Amino acid sequence: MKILVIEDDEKIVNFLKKGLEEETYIVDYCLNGDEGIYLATVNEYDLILLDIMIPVKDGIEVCKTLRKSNINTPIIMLTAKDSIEDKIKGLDIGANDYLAKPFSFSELLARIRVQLRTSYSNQTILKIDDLELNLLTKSAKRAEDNINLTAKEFALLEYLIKNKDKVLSESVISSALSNMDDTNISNIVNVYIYRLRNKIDKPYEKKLIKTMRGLGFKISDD
Amino acid sequence: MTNLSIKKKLLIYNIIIQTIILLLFSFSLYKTLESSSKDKLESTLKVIVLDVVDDIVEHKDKLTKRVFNEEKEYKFKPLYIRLLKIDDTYEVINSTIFPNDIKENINELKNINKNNIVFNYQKDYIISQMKLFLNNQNYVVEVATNFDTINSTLENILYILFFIVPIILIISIIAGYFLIYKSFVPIELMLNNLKNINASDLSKRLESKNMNDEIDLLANEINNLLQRLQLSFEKISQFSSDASHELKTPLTIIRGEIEIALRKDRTTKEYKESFENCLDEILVIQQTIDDLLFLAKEEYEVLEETKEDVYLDEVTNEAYKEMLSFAKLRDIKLLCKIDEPIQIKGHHKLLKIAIKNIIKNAITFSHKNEDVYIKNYSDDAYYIISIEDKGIGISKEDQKKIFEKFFRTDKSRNKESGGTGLGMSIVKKIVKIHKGEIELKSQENKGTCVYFKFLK
Repeated sequence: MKILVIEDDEKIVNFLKKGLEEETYIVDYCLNGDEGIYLATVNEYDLILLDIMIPVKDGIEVCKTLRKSNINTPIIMLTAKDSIEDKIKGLDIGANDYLAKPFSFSELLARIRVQLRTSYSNQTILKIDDLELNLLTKSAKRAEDNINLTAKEFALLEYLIKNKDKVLSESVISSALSNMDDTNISNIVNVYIYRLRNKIDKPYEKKLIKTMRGLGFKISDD
Repeated sequence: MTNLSIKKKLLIYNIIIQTIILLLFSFSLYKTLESSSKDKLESTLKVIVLDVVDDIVEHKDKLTKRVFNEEKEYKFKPLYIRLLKIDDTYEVINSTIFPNDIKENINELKNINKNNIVFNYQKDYIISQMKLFLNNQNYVVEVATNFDTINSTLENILYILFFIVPIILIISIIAGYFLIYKSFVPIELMLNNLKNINASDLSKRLESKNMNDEIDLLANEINNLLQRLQLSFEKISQFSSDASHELKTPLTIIRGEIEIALRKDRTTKEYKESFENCLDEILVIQQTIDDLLFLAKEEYEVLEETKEDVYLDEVTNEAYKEMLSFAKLRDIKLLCKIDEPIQIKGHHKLLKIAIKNIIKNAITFSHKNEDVYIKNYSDDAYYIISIEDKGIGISKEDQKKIFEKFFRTDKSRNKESGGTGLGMSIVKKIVKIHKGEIELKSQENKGTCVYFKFLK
């Protein structure tokens, strides 16, 4: 799950990035509205966290522009303005949710989950065959065995399951799993797929992750 | 009476005043008429008495035979005339028909001076009397008439007044009511308009009819007041939204840092980092609160009284020395040139804060390895402190807003200046306390120069 943070205060960006990455999200960030519009337009994000008081173009502008150009990525507004009017204004121009600063990080996570859930299904547990992925506790189970996954591995597995039965190329996977600061080498995808297979497929008879030669990978239970 | 509307009060006052005026008018009219008709009657009687006396004196041998026909002569009715002999008997010598109910007052008759006409009022009659001395005998001539004519005239007048006064009163009250009602219509309209304007919507204005009358003047004044109110309301709400934003940002960081630090077990190094971040933000909150309090205080009078002699060169030098380490941190060379010792009245501490704020900005917005010049000199009218940098400069548009509370240029926001956004407002206030001026010359990407000017 990829999240774009548009916020002008670097210290806020720092803790958001740290906290969200520990929750297995992939985080890109930028410090002004113009850059935010650019990034949201050229990259695929699952969610945007948007501050209202940002330089160059403010959050309201950014939100309007994105919605005009038919980018319907869920937007959660983060702002120090917390009057009812501000909230209504934010929601009316196309934001999906509104959180007033200073916010509780756990609440932000819950709201992020709500937005991400509505974009595919209303479940917090993803299942494929006897493999279970709990998005709330970030834990994985197969046949009642707990499997320990790193943040990146979890994110990869989540992405695969959400795109069940679809063939995903290395470059698609790598763009979904890496932020702009990561070196974008497709080899990294192979490494993660290899590690993931070791953990979820190797001990079991039925293999879920399949390599489609020359095309990429997919996860399926047939 | 106290809690009636002005309209009702005016109406009541109007009724009272009109009534009093009309009653006074009627009363004085009546009295004047009464006294003037009495005077006229008396003077007429006087003439008749004198005439009768002349007549008697002329025919003194035929006192009893003389016929009094003054009534006919003067066309004055009713007229009663008689001649009395003044002795023990008071015998009527000669008389026209004389009413019985006129009482003789013997004592009075005796006391009448000779050749004097006396008027004697009795119930319905007025009697004029004159003494004369004929044939060694005292006589009194009495000419009398009744009040009937006067009374009927006065009665008529009274009836007229009784009838006319209430009519006039009613007409004038109705007219007054309309006048008052009409003159209050625009005020009531204004009231209704004002009721629709409240603190949440000060943008509305009263309509004026461009008649330039008092109502229009009032409406204009109220509109001016609303304008000023609206401006200050906007300023206040802008300020509080800015203030809350400035305080909420560091709080957000502290809360986020702590919550994330607590989510799982971490290394000592990570905990330390979180603590350091929190401490930084707490210092920002503290500074913001101090600055806000300084700006909120309006104690110019106190500051005016406690002014002392300050050496500007000394203050500048101290500010320069205290900022050296900060400049070094940012790889900026700080240069200071002081021409002469300058003395003004003011506050050492506050002036130093102002100069340091400007130096800090100059350093923050300079590129690495550039110089910042601090100069102290004077021209014909002013003592001047100038702080010049070759940094990023300020755009024309931003120069106008630079002294506003919490204003930050987009560049300075991006530059992580670490300030509270209140520095320039504080500088402005300090300069104002010292009755000085502050000037700013800046070109984008060329640099900025700030001048403190204090009158000699």
